[in-house]
Amino acid sequence: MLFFIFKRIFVLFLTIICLSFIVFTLVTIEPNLKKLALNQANMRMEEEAVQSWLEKNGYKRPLLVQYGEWLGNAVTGDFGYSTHFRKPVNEVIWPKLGHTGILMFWVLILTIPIALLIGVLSGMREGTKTDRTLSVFSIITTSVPQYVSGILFTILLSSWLGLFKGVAKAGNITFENFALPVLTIVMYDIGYIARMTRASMVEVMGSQYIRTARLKGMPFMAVVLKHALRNALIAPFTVIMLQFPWLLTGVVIVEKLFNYKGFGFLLVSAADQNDIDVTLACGVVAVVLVLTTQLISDIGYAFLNPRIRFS
Amino acid sequence: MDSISTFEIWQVFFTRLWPVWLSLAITFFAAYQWKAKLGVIGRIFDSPIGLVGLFIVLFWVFAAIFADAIALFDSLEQSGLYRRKPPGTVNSATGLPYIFGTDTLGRDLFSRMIYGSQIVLLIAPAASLVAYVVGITLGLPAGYIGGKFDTVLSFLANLVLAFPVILLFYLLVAPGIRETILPNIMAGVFFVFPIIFALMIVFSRFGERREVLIPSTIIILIIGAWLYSGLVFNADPLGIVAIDPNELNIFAAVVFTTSPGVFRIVRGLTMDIRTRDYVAAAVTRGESPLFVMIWEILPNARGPLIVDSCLRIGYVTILLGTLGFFGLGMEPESPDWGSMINQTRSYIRLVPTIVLPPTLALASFVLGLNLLADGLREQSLKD
Amino acid sequence: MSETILKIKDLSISLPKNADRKYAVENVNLDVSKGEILCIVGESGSGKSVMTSAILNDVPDTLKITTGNVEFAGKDILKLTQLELNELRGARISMIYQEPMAALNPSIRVGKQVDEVFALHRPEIKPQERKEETLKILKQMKLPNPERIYSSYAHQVSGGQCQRIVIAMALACNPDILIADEPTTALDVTTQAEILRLISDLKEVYKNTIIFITHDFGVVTDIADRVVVMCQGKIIEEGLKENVLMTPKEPYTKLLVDAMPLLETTREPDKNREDSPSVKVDKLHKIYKTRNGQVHALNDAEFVLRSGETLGVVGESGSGKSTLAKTLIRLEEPTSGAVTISQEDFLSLSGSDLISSRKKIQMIFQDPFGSLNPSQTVGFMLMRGLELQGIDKIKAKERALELLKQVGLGEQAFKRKPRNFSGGQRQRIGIARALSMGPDVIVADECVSALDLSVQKQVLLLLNELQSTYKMAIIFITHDLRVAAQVSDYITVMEKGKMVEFGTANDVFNNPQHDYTKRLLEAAPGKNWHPPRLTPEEASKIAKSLEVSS
Repeated sequence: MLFFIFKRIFVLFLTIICLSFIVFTLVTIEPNLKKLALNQANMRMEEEAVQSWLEKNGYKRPLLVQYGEWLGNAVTGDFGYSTHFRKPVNEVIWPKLGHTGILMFWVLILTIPIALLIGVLSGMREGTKTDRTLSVFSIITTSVPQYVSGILFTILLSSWLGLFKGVAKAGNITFENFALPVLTIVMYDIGYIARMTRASMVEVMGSQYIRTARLKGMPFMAVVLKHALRNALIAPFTVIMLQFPWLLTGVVIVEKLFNYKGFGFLLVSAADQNDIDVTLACGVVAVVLVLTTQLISDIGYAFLNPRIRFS
Repeated sequence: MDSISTFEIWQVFFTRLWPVWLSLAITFFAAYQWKAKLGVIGRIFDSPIGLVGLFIVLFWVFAAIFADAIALFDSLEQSGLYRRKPPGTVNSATGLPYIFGTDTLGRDLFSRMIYGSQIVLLIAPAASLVAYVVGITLGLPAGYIGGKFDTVLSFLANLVLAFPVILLFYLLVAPGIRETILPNIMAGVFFVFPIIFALMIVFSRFGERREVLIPSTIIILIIGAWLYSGLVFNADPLGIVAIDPNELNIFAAVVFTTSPGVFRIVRGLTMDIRTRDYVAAAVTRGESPLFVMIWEILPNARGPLIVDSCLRIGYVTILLGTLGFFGLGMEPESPDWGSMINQTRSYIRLVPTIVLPPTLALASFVLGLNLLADGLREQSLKD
Repeated sequence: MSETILKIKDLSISLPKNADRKYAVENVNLDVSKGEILCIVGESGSGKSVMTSAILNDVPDTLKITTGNVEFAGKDILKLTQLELNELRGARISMIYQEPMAALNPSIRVGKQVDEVFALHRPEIKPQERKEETLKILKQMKLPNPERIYSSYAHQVSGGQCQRIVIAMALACNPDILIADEPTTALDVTTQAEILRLISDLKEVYKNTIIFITHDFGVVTDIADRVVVMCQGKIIEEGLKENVLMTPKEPYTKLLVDAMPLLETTREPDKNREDSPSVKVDKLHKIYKTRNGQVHALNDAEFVLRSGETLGVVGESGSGKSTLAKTLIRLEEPTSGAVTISQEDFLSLSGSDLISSRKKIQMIFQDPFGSLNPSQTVGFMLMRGLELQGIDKIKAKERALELLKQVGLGEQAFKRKPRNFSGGQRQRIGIARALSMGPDVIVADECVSALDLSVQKQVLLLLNELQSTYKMAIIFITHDLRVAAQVSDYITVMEKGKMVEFGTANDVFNNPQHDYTKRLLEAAPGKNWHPPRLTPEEASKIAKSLEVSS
């Protein structure tokens, strides 16, 4: 088991290195560098001035040298300097991550219980009206991407009904501010998790040991609560963990839509402005989060499944 | 300014769409008659959810086909006079109504929405198809033969999948990229796969029979090279096959982000199917691994893959919309739904309905695909 | 004649719309007497499981009980409220069924699952005392080390032990009736014998009534008082064991009784043959590496088999018989040893040599539903084999049609896909496919284990016929000694990877050398039974009149 974890951590580092290298290469290609120079110095520079500016700032050195320097710094925790904010990256990235963290917190608190409940209720009695209605509801929510639902909610709840704010200010955690962004992300994610939970529940309810419990004379709800749930919820757990990449994308979209200055917003503006160090740092952080949740998912699955835990 | 009532708006809407209604009626009627012959697709009629999905999908397919006949205005035609007008405003010059209103440059939203379907329906299925070919060509050997090939490919697939999609798009579809040859390289790599796949099919079936093998290989290589030069290098000698470099860029980026997912699924299916007895029977018969992969395993992965393809086209549609939303997509004038959403959303306070046509169009199309996929899944389970 | 404890009256249960018949169970009337062991026999699709599920009103959702009642203790079970039904289940009528490990919740410790029965039906036992009661009953099931079993999970316990735990749950509250739906079918023969003995021993103690479903007449002979024969949802014949088994009245019953394989050998090989063997196996080993070390799955297998002869390889699960099959045919590579097929060293071949020699040894698989590619037509499957041998298309098609005829299928089968065929027909297609390569050796890996009895007999006859035509050597793998007796010249018994016994069929049956063989012979159900036999003509006449398809 321990060996398994070590292997995964090794793969994690390998992935980070490969990805950061790829990002680095792409971010420092000629046209992007030109744009950076023009942005930073003078929008109307001539080609020569551009080249000398780049030379002066060390962008003309061999690729591997530049990358090596970045990597060396990153390992010690120094993620470099943001050309857009004119501050060290560490001062920029962690607070924003915190803002996004709060958003994510509320999203997860809402999504997980609701999605699981929907999944269990519809899977419990397959084929009934409850099941069909909830299933259709799940499909509809997975079909509507965040930039669509966010806009629709804004129109509905903000413009027409004037209930919530259409734009969210970070650092100002009020219900008004948060309601729409959270609602948008929650809507999209509920559907998928609910469907996976339903599928797992249906499979478990059809298994032989549920029949045994039933034929022992156990009432239906007791069968569900005592026997079905603990087996049916193993799969959704892994699914929830593996949802993380999509959650991240959704967060980026929603933050842009509602102008919420969190991690996703930062990522996008950094890439837009070609702020190399911030882009790299954001990329690394994102990848670490994704791979860590994958690892947690695998370990969790092995832990929750007695067949694997005790074998 | 004149305008027409809400009732009349919907009247115009329904009447303009007459080619679509007609085609839908004919298609459903014909499909119902030949239900038995169409196999799984025919059984869609047993699933109400699937039928609704099919209806919606075909609605947009026909809308794209008959766009010229349906639209009231040209999709690029701007108007200084009629900017951000509410739905129903009538253009006094032509007497035609902007039934869904206009955008900030005075372009008719209804017509742009209809023309936008052409873009989506061209790129999304095509990109998905190429992603499928890549995923299958790599996933089958990875799942069947395993070993180092599998380890390396799985690592690469996980690499791409771990990447935040938005960042990937910013890197691959940024304006700067287009000046390099990177898009051409990516497209070059991806468009090789259909050729490889076609060759794999031919070799596995006719491997022993030289008389069939050699001509087919030559034909495939010629056609492949022709399409390839046209699409990737924009150097088609006959001048027929060409693609806008911007579209090529988007296409390549979308295929790049979608293929690993397909790879994973195909690999998983292959690893499952290869344990079946009929695969063992083929092996003991002396079949080559190539034959086993293409003719024993792949046909039996058909069911789940068809369901997945519907979902994937929907997902690709969302991706395209995301690209447009971030301004990374097609040129600003293009009636691509994602770009439309991005351009109109700043005016929600002024004219709330300005953002609705592309929004609802995209949502309905993806919904249709998801419902269709669900219906197909239900039916294929009964197989 | 003791009193009736359960009375099924006019029970009809309908099937969903697209099924091949209207009723799963049709107009069934059955009286069960107190204290008897009633065996319900039938082939697949006979409705026996559905009928017994109805006794506890636990019929699958897709089926509907259209008429009838099930009278027990003065009430109609089908009309009880959910509360009353819950009180009845597990306490007065219990059920156990086929896959013991699947019947236990994998995430709850086994002991706790038995505790639950006490919690549900014996409220007078306080929660702290429940564990004691459970341990008591686990001991009664002759489980070694009940404490350890109590805190185990289902997958940490063997199949036979699982079934004992399930029986413990079922008998914990001393029910009046125990329904057992093929409880031993998934178990090894020796385990089956133990469980059957346990059930009848417990009956002496608990004095309950047992309704036992099985497809194996041998089991019926060993334990039944009365027998009921079902076919296509109807009861065909019922009566005392002796009457039904020794003097069956109905044609269908006669057919079933005739199809039952006995522990009697049918063939005797010529021991003095000196021609070169079709297959020669020398010191074959297969070692698997697992997380905790190694598994020596095949240990020093050796034998010689000549053309037209059949070697029956008999063993229980884990004996290594499947490993033998897989390594012989090189679906997996053996760790060491030699295999010679028609004087050619098979193991040392590789590349195109291997591919061209593969045709000499072919396999017939166990699962009729997994051994044929669902997306290919029968014709394609057969022709592919012929094409690979270089035969041109026209001749290939002729040969394919000839093969179909030889296995008893018509020409129309050529264009159709596997889903249109029954289990027995699919096995015939599998045989045709194997024959299409023109092999010298055929490995039949449990190829009749998944078939109904009457169908099984047909397929075995077919194999024998084809062998006398083509004279291939057959290595016939099975877990059932009685089936092996029908086709084997030689028999080898395998235990834990080793061939512990080898000899002609007669020698092994009448003069077994190894302990394990003796145990297998002892455990075989119905060994003291000598039922009436039909001649092949009589059998096919009855089969035709009943339109029994195979």
